[in-house]
Amino acid sequence: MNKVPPNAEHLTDIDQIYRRLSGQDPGRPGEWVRRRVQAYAAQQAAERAVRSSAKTQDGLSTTGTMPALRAAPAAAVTAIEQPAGKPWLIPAIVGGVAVVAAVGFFVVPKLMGASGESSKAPPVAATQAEISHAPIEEPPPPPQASGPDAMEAPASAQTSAGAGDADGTQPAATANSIPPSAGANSLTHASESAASPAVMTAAQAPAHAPASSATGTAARGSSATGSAAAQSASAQTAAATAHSQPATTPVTSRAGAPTEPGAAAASAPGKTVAGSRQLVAPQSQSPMSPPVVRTARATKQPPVAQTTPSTSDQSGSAAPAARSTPAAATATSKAALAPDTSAATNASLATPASAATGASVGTAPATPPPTASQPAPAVSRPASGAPAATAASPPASVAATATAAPTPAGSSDAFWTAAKSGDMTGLQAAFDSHVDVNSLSPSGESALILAIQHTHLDAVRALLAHGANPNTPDSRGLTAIRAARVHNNYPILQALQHSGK
Amino acid sequence: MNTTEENDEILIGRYARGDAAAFDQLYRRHELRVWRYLERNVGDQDTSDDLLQDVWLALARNAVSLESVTRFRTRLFTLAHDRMVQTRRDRASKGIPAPSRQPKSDESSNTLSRALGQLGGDERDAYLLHIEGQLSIGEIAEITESPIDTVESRLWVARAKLHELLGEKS
Repeated sequence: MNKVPPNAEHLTDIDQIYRRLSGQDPGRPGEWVRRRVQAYAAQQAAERAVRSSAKTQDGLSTTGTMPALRAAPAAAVTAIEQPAGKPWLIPAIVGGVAVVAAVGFFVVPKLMGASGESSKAPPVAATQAEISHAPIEEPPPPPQASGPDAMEAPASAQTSAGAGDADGTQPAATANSIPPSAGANSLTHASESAASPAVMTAAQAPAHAPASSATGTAARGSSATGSAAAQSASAQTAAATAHSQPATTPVTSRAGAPTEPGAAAASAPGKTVAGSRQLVAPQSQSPMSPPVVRTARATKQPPVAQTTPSTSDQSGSAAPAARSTPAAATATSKAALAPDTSAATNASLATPASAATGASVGTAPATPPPTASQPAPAVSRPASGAPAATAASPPASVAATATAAPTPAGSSDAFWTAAKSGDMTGLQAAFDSHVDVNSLSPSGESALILAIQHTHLDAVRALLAHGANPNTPDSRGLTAIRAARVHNNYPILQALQHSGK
Repeated sequence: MNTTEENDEILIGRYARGDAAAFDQLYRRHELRVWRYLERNVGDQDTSDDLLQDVWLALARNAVSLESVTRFRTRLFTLAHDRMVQTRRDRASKGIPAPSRQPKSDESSNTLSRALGQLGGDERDAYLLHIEGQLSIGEIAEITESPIDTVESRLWVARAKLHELLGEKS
């Protein structure tokens, strides 16, 4: 190798030298290689071309009817677009259109006039009017004249309705035949059955005069939309709505508009009430006690679904006296959604007043026995003031305090104070009282972080030995490992790493 | 270069759909570079011709799968590299000595051939992929299945040696 390493310019020069020498090299691949490769490539290309054409033919054969169908319109279009050779074509087309229009203008009104005045009115109004005054004893209509069929031919329905036939008014009569009391029940089946079966079923039932507007709804929805594309959907909608409507409810907009859950629910009040009762039911079983107790005890199975409906239950008819107030429910849901430590902290930090209000509803049962619930707030509140005295007092008194106040809150305060001051005796006493080593102090710091911040290596080791998690964040999201890094305390960081968490 | 690369991919796509002329165009464009890469690695024209044929026949056979290849040239030199390495292994396993580099007709070609012959196999391979295949260090690392640092080192060593062998003479 070079004794003096070449620089980048020299290396770039080498590439230039290589290219120059390589360009002077007359060496070329054999001509036979080219011929053979090109022949093979051409063969492969031909095979691929054959395969692709075969695929195309297969595709055309599967859709063989389509070209034939497309041929006629295409021919018509070309004939229209190229009138140069056939000058008679355009006048012929125009004449044909004029004839059709004339027939439409002159013949159809005569036919319609024969059916009477009622046919001149809007079809739905005519249908409604006649149905409302129509005799109930109509013969049952033929089943093939279902809702969609009638919708497809509103004009014929109109004319025949004028004569009082059941032909055009079939959907109306069928929808009429449903008594209002059956609406709730029929709603459950309306979505299952298509439009025509629903109408047919109703048509077979004895017809009754009320609910004529529902009839009008079906007919109007169909005749108003008129488009073939919307017929199926609107027919189903109209049929379902007509079944569920009370007697004289104007349903025109509902029939024309897409079905809405709210409208459907409104049309079936009985079902709505039943649904709300179903929602209320689990909550009304035991609105306060067991779930809230578990929540306040920071178990991770809070029945949130039970507490949540309690607020939405206001409109329901379940016993309101047994229900918790919204504020209490909110507090309960907060406690339910809070993590273990925060829930415990909230419970321990609750003032007696709040315990009297909120806890009487939801939190008071959290403490297991009634006797134990009494001292709990009393101890927890003075405990917040305790740290000063405890910190000033010797370790023995801290231990005595911890043992004297066996509640978690009191022992935790001593525990955090001991961790902060590096008091191993106090820590040991806290460990003996089974304190939660990962719990956060009122200021939101864990004992481990407090020990790290005050560089108490022994306390850190003791906490780690008793299960302190260096990854548990404090209220600001600071973990013990990060705190050790921030303080650049290598021995503590090493101890954290050796803890293996 | 981008246009060329796009054209490469377009051409192989056209050939995959049955256009033989597209393949001819591709072949003419890359034939010489691939052959030089092979010939300067193995040092034997006949073997290089055979390898060149194998490479392009494989391309013609698998053109449909190459439609989705982002860079045709990378795929082309990957095939050439694999076949060259396989030939080298076959020879080594059969105990066949590597063919001596054939003397060229002109002096400059002989000089280049001798200089390349004095490089190590991996260094020569990396340098030829870089200079003939116009591939990046990352692509060479991908083709040779080596770390990028290793490829950089091989390129540096190859250039240093060539500088020593060719720089003074040229």
